[in-house]
Formats: sequence, structure tokens, C-alpha cells
Amino acid sequence: MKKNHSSITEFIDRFIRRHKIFNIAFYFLCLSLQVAAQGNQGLKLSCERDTSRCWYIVATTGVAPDRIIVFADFNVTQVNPGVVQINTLIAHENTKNKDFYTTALEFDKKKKLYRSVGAYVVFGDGKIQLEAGSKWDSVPSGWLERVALAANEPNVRSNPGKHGMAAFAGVFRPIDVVDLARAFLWKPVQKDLNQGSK
Amino acid sequence: LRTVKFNFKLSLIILLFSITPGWSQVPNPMNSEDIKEAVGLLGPGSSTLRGRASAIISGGLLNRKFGYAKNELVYLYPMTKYMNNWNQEHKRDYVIGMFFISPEMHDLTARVITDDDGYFKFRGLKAGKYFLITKVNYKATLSEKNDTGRSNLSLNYFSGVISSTPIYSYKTVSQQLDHHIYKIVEIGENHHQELGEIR
Repeated sequence: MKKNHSSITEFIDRFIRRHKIFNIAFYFLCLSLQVAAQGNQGLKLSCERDTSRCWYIVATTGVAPDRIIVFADFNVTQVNPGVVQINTLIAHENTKNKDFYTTALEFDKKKKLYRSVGAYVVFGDGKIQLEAGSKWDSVPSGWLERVALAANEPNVRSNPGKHGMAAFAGVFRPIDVVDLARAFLWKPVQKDLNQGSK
Repeated sequence: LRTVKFNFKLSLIILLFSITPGWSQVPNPMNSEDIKEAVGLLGPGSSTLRGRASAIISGGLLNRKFGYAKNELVYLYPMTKYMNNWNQEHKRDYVIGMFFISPEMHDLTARVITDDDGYFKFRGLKAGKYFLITKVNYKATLSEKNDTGRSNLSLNYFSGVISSTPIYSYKTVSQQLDHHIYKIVEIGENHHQELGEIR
């Protein structure tokens, strides 16, 4: 079923682009068909270009006000056969220590290994600390396992909802993803806490 | 009550041009060097930019009424060589110029959302020039003039028609309009820049 839906979507996309349709009625028809076709797949972000960013929530942990969200950019790149690279972002609700940590991770699916190829941490006071890449290591259980699942399995990326992952934002800068999370995911609880202390 | 002459044909043309997917074919393409430059400028920095997106929606000098961008996206495009060329080409009409920005350049932006009062804040910016874009959505009351098809006739003594004037009906309609804000901002190193209210 899924294959049919995506092929309809792709066909409509290609048709619109090739023929540069200027017919408003047809455009709306196509748009509604696209929405209907994508409806069963849940909300998805478009990762069609190398410059696109598709941040999905892959794991969460902690309780307010110390919650942590792990985001992964589903615009995965193939580094060489068997090895893929994925951008990962760990956002902290409480900025007393770290604000967020972002890293580009490489995963070797066959050998079940991973390594970081570069990272930086932004602390609560705004200081930035760059981190060098790491050596190949086995993938531990926990959030890294979730990121590995998203990186290695195209089926997981095409059906994120089935694997407990959710689309969040298509913004380029990790810091903007963190600010969006603060504004829309964490803000209501912070407000309640403030009201309670008054 | 703000009276704006409603032009149906013009509205339809604007509507058609704004939603037609054919526009996606038009933009000037970006090469790999342009992309590399933009990605570099969007790397982690230590400057911030704050402001408030607003628009004058009615009134004269003394009783101006302001509208603020509520939960609107604010985009910062790094002023790369590509964007500088685009700015030179389209600085007379940014609205049309937006259609000529490559989709890759739209991806390579810093983005935040304004709060309910139009305030926004960008963190972690690198020093440099940026092109800021946002919009203020507001409700305008328009007066629509319709021809009823009937006329007032002036007759002479012998019931001959001297002149006829059409009878119009006026209908008040509310419409959501967008005020677009385009601004080039320059940010220094480790600088907390306050833009204040921008229109």
C-alpha cells in the first residue's frame, strides 16, 4: 500500500514540474490528491535536496524541567558502500550546563559500528566547544541505537510513526530546532511551573 | 474603516501567480561554491539578533494602529555572493524577487517564529550581513462597490431621459492581508543586536 501512495505522489510531482501547469483547478486537485496520498503515512518532511534538513524526534528522556530530546536529520548521506552519515542533535530543556550538542555520526550497518566525524557543544552561557571525531566503536543501547535504526533502515525513515519517531522541523540550524522545541514543546510546562511558584 | 478599492481581476492574477507551481522552475541556480559559502555562514556563532515585526494597519499620524506578527516565521538569509547578486537585481521589488531565489537558498536560512506579540530572537549567529524576511498578517475591512444594474434617470418635462446614473451597492468585507518586511541587517562579532520595531 505504501509503495502505491508514494508512487502517486511522485507521479503528481513530476507531472506538475514537467508541464508547468498553470491551471488552478488542476493544481488544487493535485494538491488534494497529494494530501490524501500522504495522509496514511503521517506527517513527513521533504528531504529532496542535499541542503534540506528534516529533523525528527527519535528519542526523549527525563522529566520536566530536565527533559532531553534527541533529534536526527533524516536527510541521510551515503558516505561509502555500507556506511551512512546522519546529523544528530541533543537538546536539553535545562540549560544550567549544556544547551545542546550536535554531531555528525557515521554508521556501519554490517559491522554494527559507529563513530562521530565532528561535533560541537553549546553551553548554557553561550560558549561553544568544538569536539574532534571519535574512533569506530560498537553501537551501545539507548538513544544511539535509535539513531542507528533511523540511519541504517530506509523503511524506518519512510514510516517514522510506526517506530515511535515524529517529524519536527525542516530548519537548517540546530540552534533553531532547539529554540522551536523550547517555544512549542517545553514552554507550556515552564509556564505552569512559574505560575505554581507565584 | 479603511476603504480600499477592491480590484477583482488584479487579485485573481496575484493569486494565480503566487500559487502556480511553475514558478519553481524559474530561480537562478546555486553552484556548489555558493552552497558552501552559505553553509559556512550558518555555522555556530555567538551573536544574537532581537526585534519585533510590526505594521501600521490603519490611522493617520496621531491615531496609528499597529499590527504585530503573531507566530510568523522570520527568515535570515546569509548575504553570500549569490544573495548579493540577487539583491542588486531585485532590490526594487523584493516581492517578485522572492520567486527568483533558488530552493537551496531557501533551505540555507536561519529561522525562528515570533511570539504572540511579534517579538523574535535569533541566537548563535555569525558576524556578517543577513537579509531578513517576515510578514505581518492582519485583518483589513474593505468596501466593495457593486453595480446593481439599476439606474437613476433624470427626465425632462416631456419624460425624455436627460441623464442616467448607475446605482451602486456597497458591501463591507473583511480580508486577511499580509504586510511583508524585508530588511538587510548587519551583525557584529559577539554582539547582541536590538532591531527594535521593524516595518
